[in-house]
Amino acid sequence: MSAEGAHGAPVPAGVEGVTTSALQGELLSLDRVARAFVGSPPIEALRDATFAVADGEIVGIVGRSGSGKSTLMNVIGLLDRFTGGTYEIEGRSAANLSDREQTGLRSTFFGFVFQQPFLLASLTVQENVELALRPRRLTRSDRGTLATQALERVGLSRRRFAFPATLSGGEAQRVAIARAIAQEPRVLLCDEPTGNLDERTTEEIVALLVSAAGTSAAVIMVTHDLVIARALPRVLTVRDGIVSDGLDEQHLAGRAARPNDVSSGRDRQP
Amino acid sequence: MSQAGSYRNRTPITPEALTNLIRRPLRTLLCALGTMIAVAAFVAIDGLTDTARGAVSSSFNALRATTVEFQGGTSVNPILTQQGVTRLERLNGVTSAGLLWDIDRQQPLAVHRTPPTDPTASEPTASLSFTAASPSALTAIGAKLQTGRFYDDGANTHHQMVALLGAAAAQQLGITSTIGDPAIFVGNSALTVIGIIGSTQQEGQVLLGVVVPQYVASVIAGRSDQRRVIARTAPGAAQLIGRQGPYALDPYAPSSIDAEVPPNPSMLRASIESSLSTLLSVLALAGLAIGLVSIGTVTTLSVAQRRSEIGLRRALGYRRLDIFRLILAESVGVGILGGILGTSLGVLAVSIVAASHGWTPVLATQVIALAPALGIAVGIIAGSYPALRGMSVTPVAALRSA
Repeated sequence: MSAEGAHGAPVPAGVEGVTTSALQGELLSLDRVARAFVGSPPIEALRDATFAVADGEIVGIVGRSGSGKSTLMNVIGLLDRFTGGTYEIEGRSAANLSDREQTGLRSTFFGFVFQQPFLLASLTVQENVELALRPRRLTRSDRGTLATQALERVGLSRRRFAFPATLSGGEAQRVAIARAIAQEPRVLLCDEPTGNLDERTTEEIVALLVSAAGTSAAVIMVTHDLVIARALPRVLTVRDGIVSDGLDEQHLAGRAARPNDVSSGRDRQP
Repeated sequence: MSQAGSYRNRTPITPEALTNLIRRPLRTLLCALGTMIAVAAFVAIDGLTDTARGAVSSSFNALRATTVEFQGGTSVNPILTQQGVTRLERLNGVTSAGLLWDIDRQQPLAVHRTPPTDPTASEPTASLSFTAASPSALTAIGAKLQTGRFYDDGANTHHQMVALLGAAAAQQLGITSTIGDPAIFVGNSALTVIGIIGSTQQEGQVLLGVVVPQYVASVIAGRSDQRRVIARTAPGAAQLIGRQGPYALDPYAPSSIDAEVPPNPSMLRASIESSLSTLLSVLALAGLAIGLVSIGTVTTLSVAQRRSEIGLRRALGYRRLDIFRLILAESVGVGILGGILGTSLGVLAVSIVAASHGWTPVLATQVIALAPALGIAVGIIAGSYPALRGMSVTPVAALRSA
């Protein structure tokens, strides 16, 4: 924690130096994007989400539980469909993408890191990373090389033949990151990737994700952790499905439940 | 877009399915168990049907299939006579025929080596059953001498008091040779032992007792006994001789003679095949149903358990069809494993059963080739529904439920 982020907060290792000035072009563009779920009454999980994400940008998404952060993330990553508005990926409307094209983009354009690592217990670490490359037109050796390189970047190449059951929580999440960055995605989507980890491991994971921006074009990270959010160069706050630019700490500080948790509104002591 | 390879038209699934099956051996084996039993039942029953068919053929050998037995009348009121037997022997298809009957219904008679009146007798005594047989009957039953000679028609004509001993009876009486004309005593009659019968193809009881000509029987018998005629026929003639025989034996009252013909081998074989085929169908169908339910249930459960894995794969770029193919490939893999294990088990079962009965195991090669295919079919059928369910899982729903 040697530098300060856009909000004057200490920056986790690896975040420093990354600014919006590194942006090159617009990757994602959302205009009044909405996601409503059928019900009585219908649930509007996302309303009027309007923002753009540029190449190389690191964006944090914060919001209280149930605010629609994950829905927004799923819509961006084409894991879920949107029911209103316009969403463009590199200038192309996502609404017109076929199922096959959406799947192709999930394989080549987006990389995902979830709160749970979702490692397959029957596969080794290396095989878990290679799993993300299987839908690609790659030779077996190329796949192996890319997976090994990704594991080296997260510092786990020596454990590539281990099975997930033998990994710690932090190691498992690093494997999940390796799986995502092995794809060399243009956008790395992280949905509370440190939610289940302790403070020290959280810092390591964040540093890894931010450094991934060096090769991946953009990182979008949903987080509950205000310390991480403050350190990110750009933060979006989701409130009742409405996305606003900036870190709305006043809103987030509304109800206290857990320290440092967006839901609680209390900071972690640095 | 990414440098790390373009998106495939189709993700290679087979290696992944194979890895999944190998890395979860217990689940794979348990899943394959139903199919294994089904295929084993299929192979075993089919093999046993063929094996039993072969055994039936060998059981219905020339001897059994060419023997006809006629019954009628008694020794006091004989319907079956030597003249009738002579007529029977003239029928086309009869190779030998002879008259025989049990004396005193095989009730054992006391047989002595010395006259019963001899107070100093210390020779062995035995209780033996007596059979009366015409000389041609000895040929008909396939009697073979251990020592001595058979009696002929002259023994009857000249009222010779002679007897043949079965091998076991001779041993009981301590007679090992006919040299020196050993004698046995039955009641007040003395009989010269002229031969010892070592073996017979039929009427095995004669080895335990004494065989005498018709005249001797009339002397020692105390009651009337039912007569029988044993006829040996050429292969395939038994059914015909069974119908014609009563007319030859007693043209005036053929209906008073019962003919016992061997069952028609082809009909019996058909009957056995029919019952075995029914068994085959029932068991094989039941087994296949077990296999289908087994794979279907385990695969469906597996899909439910692997929702998050399916969601992850979808998030990583696996298409719906890839998920369908993956689940189906695993199911087919289980089916193949079950098929191979079941075939092996079935072949083993047939071999063991055949060996324990002394049969020659017979297995149709097409069945052995078909059995693994059956496993594949079971895998495809049973895996289709879970695969369809798996492919319909949306990534967001799967990941949310994890």
